[in-house]
Amino acid sequence: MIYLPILLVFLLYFLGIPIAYALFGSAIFYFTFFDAGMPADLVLQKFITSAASFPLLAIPFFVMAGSVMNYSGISRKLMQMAEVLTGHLIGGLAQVNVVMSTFMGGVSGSANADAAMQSKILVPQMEKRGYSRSFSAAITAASSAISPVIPPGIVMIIYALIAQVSVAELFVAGYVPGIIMAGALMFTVTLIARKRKYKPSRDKRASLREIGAQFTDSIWSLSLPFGVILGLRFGLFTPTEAGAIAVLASILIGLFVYKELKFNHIKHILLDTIYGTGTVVLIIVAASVFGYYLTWERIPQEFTAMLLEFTSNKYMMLAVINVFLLLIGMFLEGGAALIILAPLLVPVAVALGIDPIHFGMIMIINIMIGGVTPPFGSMMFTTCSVTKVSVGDFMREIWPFIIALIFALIVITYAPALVLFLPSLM
Amino acid sequence: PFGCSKDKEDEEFTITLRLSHVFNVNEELAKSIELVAERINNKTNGAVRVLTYPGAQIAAYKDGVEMVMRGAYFISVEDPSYIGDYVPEFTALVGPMLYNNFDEYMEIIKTPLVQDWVKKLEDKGIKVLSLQYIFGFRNLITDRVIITPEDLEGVKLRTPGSKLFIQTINTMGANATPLPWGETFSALQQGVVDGLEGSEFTNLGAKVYETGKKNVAFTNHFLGTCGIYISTEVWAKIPEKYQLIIAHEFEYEALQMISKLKSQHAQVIKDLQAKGVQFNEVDREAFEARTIHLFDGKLPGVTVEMYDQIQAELKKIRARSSQ
Amino acid sequence: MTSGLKFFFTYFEEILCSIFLIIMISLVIINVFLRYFLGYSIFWAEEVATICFVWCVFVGASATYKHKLDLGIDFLITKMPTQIEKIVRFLTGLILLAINGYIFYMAIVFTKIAWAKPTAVLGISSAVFNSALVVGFGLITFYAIRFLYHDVAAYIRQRRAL
Ligand code: NA
Ligand code: NA
Repeated sequence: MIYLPILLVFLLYFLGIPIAYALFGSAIFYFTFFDAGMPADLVLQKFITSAASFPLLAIPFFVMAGSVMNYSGISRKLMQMAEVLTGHLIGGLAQVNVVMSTFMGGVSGSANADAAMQSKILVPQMEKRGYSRSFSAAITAASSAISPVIPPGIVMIIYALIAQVSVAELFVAGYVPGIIMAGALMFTVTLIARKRKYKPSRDKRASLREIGAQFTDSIWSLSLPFGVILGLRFGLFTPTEAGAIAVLASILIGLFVYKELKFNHIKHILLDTIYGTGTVVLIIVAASVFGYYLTWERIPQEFTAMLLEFTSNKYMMLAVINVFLLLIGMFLEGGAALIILAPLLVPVAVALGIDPIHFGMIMIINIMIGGVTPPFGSMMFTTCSVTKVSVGDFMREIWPFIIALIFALIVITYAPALVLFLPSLM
Repeated sequence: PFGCSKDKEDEEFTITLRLSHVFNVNEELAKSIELVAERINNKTNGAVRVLTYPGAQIAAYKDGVEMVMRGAYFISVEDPSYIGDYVPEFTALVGPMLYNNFDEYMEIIKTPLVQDWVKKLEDKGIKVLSLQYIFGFRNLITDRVIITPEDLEGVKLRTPGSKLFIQTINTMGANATPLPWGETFSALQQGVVDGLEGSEFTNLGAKVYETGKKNVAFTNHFLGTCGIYISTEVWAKIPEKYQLIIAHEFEYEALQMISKLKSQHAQVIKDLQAKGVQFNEVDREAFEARTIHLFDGKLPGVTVEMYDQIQAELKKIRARSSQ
Repeated sequence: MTSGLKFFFTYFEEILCSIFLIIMISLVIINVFLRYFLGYSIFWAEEVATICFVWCVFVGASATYKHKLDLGIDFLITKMPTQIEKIVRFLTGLILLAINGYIFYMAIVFTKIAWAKPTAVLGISSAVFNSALVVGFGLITFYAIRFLYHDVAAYIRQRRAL
């Protein structure tokens, strides 16, 4: 009986009701018709608290920054630079997409903000160069799973507090797994690009002189991402504020340097931002509200208890936990999943002799892969909303990347030294 | 015969209460609450089931108290300033720079003055099960030595997004910068803010010293404490024999926690010193001279009269303890 | 209706959201500059920016609902026979009306009762947050009725034409 709302979500979703409303509907169904022990309208507290979160502001900020960059010529010059550097490679821009998430990982702590911004900037450029939109959306979503693994990241801080490990060590531990994930995705891109004959956009590697000339031409565009990274490193602003600063900087460059930004662009930029934010954040809110029902009924805890009875072999247990977390990551938002599950799973992991920092990486990567996976992953929804790719088309393109990420996860799970080497130097 | 049927009713009585707080599972308060819940479940033979939700998994802060106000089957564990939204005297009770030690606070909550406020709150629908969950004094953790309010000039301090904290830190001479807890560690590490305020337990638990903020000024500006609240309506439904068990367990564990806290504090300071953290006393009177103005209309609903009442009681308590 | 008025009604949510968006972004930027250059930060900037964001989210939800931009899947029902597809679409229209109408109703109750609850930083009524739900879901309910009405009207017209 208590699982009825879960069935209801699937039913409503497959009947064609937008996912946000399917989740809202099932959650309020529970709080109205089940004996939850509170007046049903109090579930609206969760509607508000899940939206009234300052770090979420990064999403409209980065969507807007992406839109301004498109209209002001910044994206174009960035792409020209990327093309000079990677144009001779197979699947060049798709590789750029992965590399950018790895770099942006050092800027934003949020996978959804990363996915939203790159959907706005990179996907249109990829489409122009002959990649299908759904392929572009898929690689954007898949690579966004890297950014919370590269420090800084909010989920890492949450984990460190619960597991009582050093935030600084956990941060450092993220670099190698992040790079492994990037490597796995880039390898997959190469395979797919070969098979589909995504041609390199230029015949041979650019000469140093050509690179130099393009660098001078793109210098203002390049100053934007690097400026944001430097600003963060020197403590000028927080990751959330970085989004707003990026908007301001791109407006200034567009108006005074490239002089391409025009008054009539304002309307389009605002609409892009409003529609992007409206759809994406509503789904995040709806997922939190539905997660509230799961938490209220302690359903994740029950599943964990079942899981722990399953086996006491360390490697078997890791495999079981991987599968379990992948499933959970498809339903719960990353932060919420960690708050609920880390206290339950970390003691078990430690008891089995698994290092809690290593286990933290496993948990975070698992949950992030869940966020890319259909039918409910939140980065999937972000990317699909902003690029207007249907979930069905997305599904057809995402699976090789999910396999690649799972492969990276397996390597990271069974080779703890890869994770623990850097922190051990501290 | 009447008593009989009531007894029978009592025998069949069961209730599920959800208890929420914001502490993470490793913190002393969370462990204590866990023990209380377990013992209540055992001693009532499962008739009263308390389900705990640490880490603000469900309604917390103002939302938790609102749950209680609205008659949900819910136990809220929050700083008394949150019930201060309904009876402002409680905001005054946990106002800045009032107490010199834990015992003064433990004494004042027993006085008729505070017990009257508790009754006032009951009329508004909130039953107080305990006000005694102390988790330590809050101090300033920065990258420099702070002794007087002047030393705080231009210092950006992270506070929680709460009016009481922001006003206090600003009045003490610093620039309050409210930040979500999730962004605080990086903000400290990268220098967006120069420090924060919190207890030594937070300092050690969250490894704040790793960010290079290694100076602690013993301002003792707030006494960190939590109360336990339940709806009066829900409370009235619970048979008296269970009420006694619940009230007893919460009180008993609070006292246990305080004595544990006292003995652990010295060790925590040693551990922090081993990490290179330095401690210093402050010119407390200079700070008090500033924060006293907060009680004059700067905090919602709080009046000078409440401050005077609290000071009068404290004077009596201090006179008694010095005898 | 004049074209100006028509524009206002077609883009009502978008205009409202734009205003909130601009306030939000300006506040955050101003705060960064003040903090860096003057060592001073506007203590209420975060709360006001967050209030604007909440309005953006729920009023923005109404904008995307109005333009049918919300993400869902319809590859299952498009595979059904046309008559069944129509029935399912009518049914989902009804369900959406029920969900949104009910949230709208609860939002009114919730906002009214929580009126006295103050916000954390400014201490103003929490209605500044909660009424975003009333406005957002009120508008969505209105569009849900309108969509349903159009579906039914189209169906009746089609039957008459037969
Ligand atoms: Na990151
Ligand atoms: Na990417």
